[in-house]
Amino acid sequence: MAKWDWLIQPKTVYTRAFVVRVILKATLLFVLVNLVYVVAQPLATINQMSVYNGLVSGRERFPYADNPTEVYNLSIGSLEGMFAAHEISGGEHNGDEFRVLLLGDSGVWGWLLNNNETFSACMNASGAQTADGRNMRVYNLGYPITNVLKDTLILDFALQYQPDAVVWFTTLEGMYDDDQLSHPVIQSNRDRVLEIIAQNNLSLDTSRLPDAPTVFDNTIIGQRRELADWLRLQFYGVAWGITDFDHTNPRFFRSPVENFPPSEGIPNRGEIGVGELTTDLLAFDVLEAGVNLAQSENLPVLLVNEPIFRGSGANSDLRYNDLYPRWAYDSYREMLGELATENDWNYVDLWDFVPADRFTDFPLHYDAEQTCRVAETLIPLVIELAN
Amino acid sequence: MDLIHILVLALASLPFMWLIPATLRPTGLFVGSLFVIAWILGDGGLTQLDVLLLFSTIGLTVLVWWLIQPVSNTPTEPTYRTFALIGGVVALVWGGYALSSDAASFQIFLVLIVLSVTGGASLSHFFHERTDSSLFHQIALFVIYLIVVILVVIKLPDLARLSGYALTWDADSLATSSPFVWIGFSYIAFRLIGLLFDFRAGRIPKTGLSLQDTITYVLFFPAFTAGPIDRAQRFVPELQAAKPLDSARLVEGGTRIAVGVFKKFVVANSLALIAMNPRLIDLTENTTGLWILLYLYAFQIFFDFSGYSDVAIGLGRLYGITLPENFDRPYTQANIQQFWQRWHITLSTWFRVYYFTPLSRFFITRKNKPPQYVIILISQVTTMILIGLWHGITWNFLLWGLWHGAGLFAHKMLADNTKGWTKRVNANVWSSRVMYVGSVLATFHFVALGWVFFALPTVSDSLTMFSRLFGG
Repeated sequence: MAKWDWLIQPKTVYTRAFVVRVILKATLLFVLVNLVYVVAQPLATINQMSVYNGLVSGRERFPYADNPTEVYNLSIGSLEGMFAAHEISGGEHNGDEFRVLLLGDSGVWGWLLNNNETFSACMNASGAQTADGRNMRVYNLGYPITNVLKDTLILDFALQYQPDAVVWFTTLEGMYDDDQLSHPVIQSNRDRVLEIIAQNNLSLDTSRLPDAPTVFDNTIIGQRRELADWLRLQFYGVAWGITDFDHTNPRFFRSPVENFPPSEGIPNRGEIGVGELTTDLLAFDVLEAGVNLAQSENLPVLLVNEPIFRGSGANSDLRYNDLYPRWAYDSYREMLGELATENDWNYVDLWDFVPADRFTDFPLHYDAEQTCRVAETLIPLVIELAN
Repeated sequence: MDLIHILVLALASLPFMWLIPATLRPTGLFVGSLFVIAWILGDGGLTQLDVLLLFSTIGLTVLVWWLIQPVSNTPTEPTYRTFALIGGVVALVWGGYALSSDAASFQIFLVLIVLSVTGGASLSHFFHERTDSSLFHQIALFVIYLIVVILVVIKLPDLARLSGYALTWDADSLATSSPFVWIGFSYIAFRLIGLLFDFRAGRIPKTGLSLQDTITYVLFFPAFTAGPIDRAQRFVPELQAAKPLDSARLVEGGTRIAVGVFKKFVVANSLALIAMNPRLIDLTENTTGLWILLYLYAFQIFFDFSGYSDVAIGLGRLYGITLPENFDRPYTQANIQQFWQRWHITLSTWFRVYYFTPLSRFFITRKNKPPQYVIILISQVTTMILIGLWHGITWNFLLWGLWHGAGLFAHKMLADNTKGWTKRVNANVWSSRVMYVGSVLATFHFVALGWVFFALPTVSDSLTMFSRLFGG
C-alpha cells in the first residue's frame, strides 16, 4: 500500500534507540506543552475563538442544552465561550442602534420556545425606534436557571459589548441567598465571581465556590473537559448554521400542578418558617450590585418581576404554585417593590400578567403568544429608557 | 472495541511478545483471542446470552475445522491440547459468569475446570472419525446455508428478538429493540464460509489446518469486531511465522493504532455529531445544508471504518501478524471500480473470490451463455446487493447495493465503449488532468449520494432526501 510506505518501508531504521528517543522526546514535549499551557492559560482565548459569527451566524441565545445530541447544542460554563457563540459578539455597536440586554432565567432564554418566539425575538420584530431614531435591538442574555448572581455575572461580562439599556427579569426563586453560588456558570467563573463579591461586599458564603485550581487543574489534561466542550460546541455550530435549531420543542409536556398539598412551606427550604421570609434571606444585595454596576456605566435598567403561574385547584388559597406559597411570594413582591421605590428603579410588576392556562411546563414558563404579549408590554417602557 | 480495549491490548502486547517464547506465541494468541472475545462480548457484564454466543462461535468454528480436515487425518498431540485449552477457557468464562451471578460455588467452578479440560481433550478423538470426503462436501454446503441463515436471523430485528428469547427464555428480551447482538459474527461468518468454500473447491492445504490455527484465524481479536476479513491461506502462514516485536514493528504498530484512534475517536466521532441523520435532515431547510450533511457523513463513515481497520492492523503488527489493508484512499479514485478496489478491500475481495468470479464463470461456461453485458450486469448487481445486505437486511441496504451495482455496470459499459476517446483525452497532459479531477469528483459524489441509502432508515426517507438534494 503506497500510503503506508513511509511507515512500513521507512528511510529511517527503527532501532530500539530510535524508539527510546521517540518516547523520551514525546514525553518531554508533552510535559513542555503542558507547562507552557499552564503558564499561558489560554483557555479563555481558546473559548473566544469560534465558528460562530464567522463561519456561521451567532446564536440568538446562549448555548444551553439538557440533551446535547438531541438539539445539537451544548451548555458550557465559560463566559468567553458563551459570548463568542452569541450574536452579540458578531458586530460592533453602530450609532443607529439602541442596544438592549435582556437578562433573566429560562423564561427569558425561551424554554420550550423556538428562538424566533422569545422575548428578544418579539421585541426585535416590532421594529421599535427610540425618539432620536435609533433602532431598538434586543439581545437575549437569559440563561437557565433562575439566579440573580448569575445574571449579574453575565451583565458584568456583557458591558464590553456597549449596551444602551438593560431589562432584567427576576423572580423569588432566583433570589435565595444560599443558592447563589451553586449555579454551574458561577462555579465555572470562580475568579470573576469572587471579584464581584469583593467589590460589592456581598454577603455570600464563598466557601461554596470551588477551590482555587491547582497546577494540574490548569494543564491540558486538567482542562480536557472544557477543551472538549469547546470543540464540540464548534461542531454543533455547523448544525446551527444549517438548521437554525437550538432547542427541543416537545409536543407533550406536563403543565404546572393545579392542586397543591395543604402546605405553606417553601420547597427545599424547611428552615424558613411561615412568615419568616426576610430581606437578609434574599440576595437583594446582589440585585442592587447588578443594578449599580449597570448604572455606573450610565445604563438605564428596567427591572421586571416576571409572571408566575397561579393555580386555582385544591389549596390554591395557600399557594400560587408548587414553588411559591402565597405568603412568601406576596412578601417578596412587597419587599422588591419597596426596594425599587427606595432606589428609584424602573420597576414593573407583571406577576399576574399571564393567564394561568397559558403556562407550559413550569410556573415560570408560558407559551409563545403570551411571551410576545409580555414583550409588547415592555417595548414602550424600554423605549422610554432611551429618553 | 473502545479506547480501553485498544489501550489494554496494545500494552499487553509488550509482555506477551517479550516474555512468551516464539514457539508458544500461536498458542498464546489462540487462548488470548478466546479471552479477549469473552471480554469484549461481556463488556458491561457478561450475560447468559453472551456466554451462549461465545460457546456457539467456538462450537461452529470447531465444526467447520472438522469438516475441512483432510480425509484420514489422525489425532495429533496439539489437537488434544487445543481441545483441552478450549475446555479450560469455556470453563473459566462460564464459571466466571456463574460465580458472578451466584449460580455456582467456587468448588463447583474448580471441578468444572478439571472436567472441561479433560473432557475437551477426550473430545478430540470424536472429531477425527471421518473418511468420506464427498459426504463432507454436502455437509459443508449445509453448514454454509446454516451460517447464512444465522446471519439473516441476526440481521432481521424481529427474528433476532425471537431468537434471543428462544435462546435465553428471557421474556424481557422480547421487549427490547434488538437483544440478539452477536458482536463480530458478520466477520466470523465470512471467514467460516470462506473456509468451507475453499474446502469444497480443494483450496485447503493438503496437510489441513490445525484446530488452534483455525480458531485463531476465525477469532483473531484485533480483527474480531470490524475486520479486516483475512483469508486463512494467508493468515495461517503469518501466524506460524509470527514476527518478533522488534523496534520497527513497535513503531509501525503503535503509529498505526495512534492514527486509527485519531481517525475513529476524534475525527469520525466528532463528525458523527452533525453528520446526515433523519432528524438533522428534517431540521434543515436549505439545499446547501443538506449537501453539507451528506459530505460530513461521507467523511464520517470513511474515518470510522478505516480508523477501526488501522487499529486492527496496528494491533496485529504488535502481536506479530500483518493483517491485510482494508482502505486505500478510496475517495481519490477516478471511477467506481477503482473505488471498490480501495474501499473495504477485504470484503470486496471476499465477494469477488467466493461469489462474483464463480458466478461469472458459471455463466461463461454455459452452453447457451448469455451476452457478456448480461453476465456483467447480473454478476455485478447481485454481488453489490449481497454486500449491501451483509450490512443489514433492509430495503435501504439493498438499494445501496443496487446503486453501486448499477454504477459498476454503467462504468464498465462506458469504459468499454469510450476507449478511443479516453485515449485521446489522456494524450494531452492538461486534458488528462482535468479529466482525472472531474472523474474523482464525479466518483466521490456518486459514492456520497449512495450513502443516503446507507445512512437513512427507510426508502421514503432516502427518496425525500434525494429529491431535496436536487432542489425538490
